[in-house]
Amino acid sequence: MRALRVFSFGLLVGWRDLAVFWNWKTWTLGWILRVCAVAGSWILLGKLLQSEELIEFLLIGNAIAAGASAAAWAIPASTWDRVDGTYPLLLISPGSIFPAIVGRTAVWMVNGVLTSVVAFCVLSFAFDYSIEHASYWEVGLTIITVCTSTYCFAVFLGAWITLLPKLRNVALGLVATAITTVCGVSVPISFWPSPVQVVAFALPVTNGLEGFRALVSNDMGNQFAILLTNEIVVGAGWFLLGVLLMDVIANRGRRDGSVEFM
Amino acid sequence: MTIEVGEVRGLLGPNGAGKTTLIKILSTILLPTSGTAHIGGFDIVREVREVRRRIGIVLGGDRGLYWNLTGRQNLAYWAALYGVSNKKAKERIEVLLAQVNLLDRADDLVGAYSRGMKQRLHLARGLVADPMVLFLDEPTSGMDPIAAREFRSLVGDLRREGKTILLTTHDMSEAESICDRVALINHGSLIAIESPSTLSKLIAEFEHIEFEKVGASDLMHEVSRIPGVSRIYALDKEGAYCVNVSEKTAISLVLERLIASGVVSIRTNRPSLEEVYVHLLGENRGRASESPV
Repeated sequence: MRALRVFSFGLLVGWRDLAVFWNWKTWTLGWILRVCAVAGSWILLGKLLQSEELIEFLLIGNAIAAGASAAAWAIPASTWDRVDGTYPLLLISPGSIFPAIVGRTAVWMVNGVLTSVVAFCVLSFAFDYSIEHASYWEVGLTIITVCTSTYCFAVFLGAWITLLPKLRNVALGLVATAITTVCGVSVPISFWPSPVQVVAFALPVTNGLEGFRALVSNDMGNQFAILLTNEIVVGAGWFLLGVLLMDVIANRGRRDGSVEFM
Repeated sequence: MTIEVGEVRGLLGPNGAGKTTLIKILSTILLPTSGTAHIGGFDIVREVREVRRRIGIVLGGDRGLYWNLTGRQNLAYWAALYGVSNKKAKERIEVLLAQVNLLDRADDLVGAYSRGMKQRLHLARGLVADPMVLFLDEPTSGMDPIAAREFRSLVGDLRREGKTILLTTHDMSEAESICDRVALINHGSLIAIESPSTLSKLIAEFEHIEFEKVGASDLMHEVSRIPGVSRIYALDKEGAYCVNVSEKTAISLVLERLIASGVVSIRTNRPSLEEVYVHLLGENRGRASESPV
């Protein structure tokens, strides 16, 4: 009960953080426009090559990756309690700091889901694309799963980045680049050598995206279910590691004084 | 060092003396490299949860609050973190907001608060779980004199409520005005534990008077003969002098003599913390070695 109350207040702090960056006008006319412009420039390659398959590949990949990149904003958000000076105070409160940190950062996962949904709709309309072999709930399920697992990965990286908080935006940039490069967004996974493919499947996005592509292009419902489950397992793994790491880093910070830097 | 229940203990020392580090160790933010400390009988390393339930901490400065939440929301959040029930929290928050005089601004965003208001909210935050022990780390640093006076008055209210308070400061007059006893520390070592009256005596002993001499060439000789004047020396070649006294009564005598001689530019200065320290260190040299804090 206490954890739920703390989580809800954390969520409120996160919501106010988000409101510092965007209001509904800047979110739609700034953020979404930018996301769609970037994704659209990739999809135009398919148009230029007059390949419907390529258009579908790039549209699905970029619309879903846009949400994943937005969810990765939880990495810098993990350091904001340090910036605010509230981190040591959270640490010495009798309960766990975990619901507070997760509450504050989870807003970016929600932002990721909304980003992907809107981008998917806008891009489908702009490029006259209609989805086959998949229902809208399957699209929604894929987006939610991918954004959630990316958020879980961000919690893990966010725990690390509290050791080097000045690099928080660099970390966000690297994750966004890694997602679009090796996770099968614009370049097929099969393009990469096997070791890179192994890494890619241990990262968020890859499994969910591959599963959805299997469903859309070949109507392979089983493959979709398996890969989506894999995506959940990958996310849960990173989340668990993130929770453990957060605790280790907090204890280490109490010993060496890094708990209060920034 | 032992602090009695209901006592307001000042921790006085210059920058870098180890005041904040000690507070952070006692409040379990940092782990000690050696030594032991107990709060309410609980060990600060081995019984962290029990200690945390019994303490509140107020750090000086602007940080430590959520600027994008209102004052009331900040308190509600910290109440949740300390496991105060919803109903109790609502009542307690109203009481605290009234106590720190923030009721009329409770629903404004903290980012719009002045420094003094933020510090008062910090105090309310530290008290939200009704802790047995309160740590105040330089709570008035950066405040204007009026806000600082109001804050000290709040600490006075808490003392009357029976809270045990450990307060760090490098302002001797602040320590003198609100503490029951004052521990002086330097370089992480305890130098002395004094009562505010002793501190006041020390301050008076090292008070000095600066003035600009006009005419009367024998004035310096006359001043130096006043009982309690320990030293008189030139501050520059323009005629500025400084008089050190070792007794408080000498101050008024020196002032009277200067005014009678037509001196109009006079200033009395309280001693710096360093001057008091030099004196105390000198006294302690003859005693046993310094006790570690």
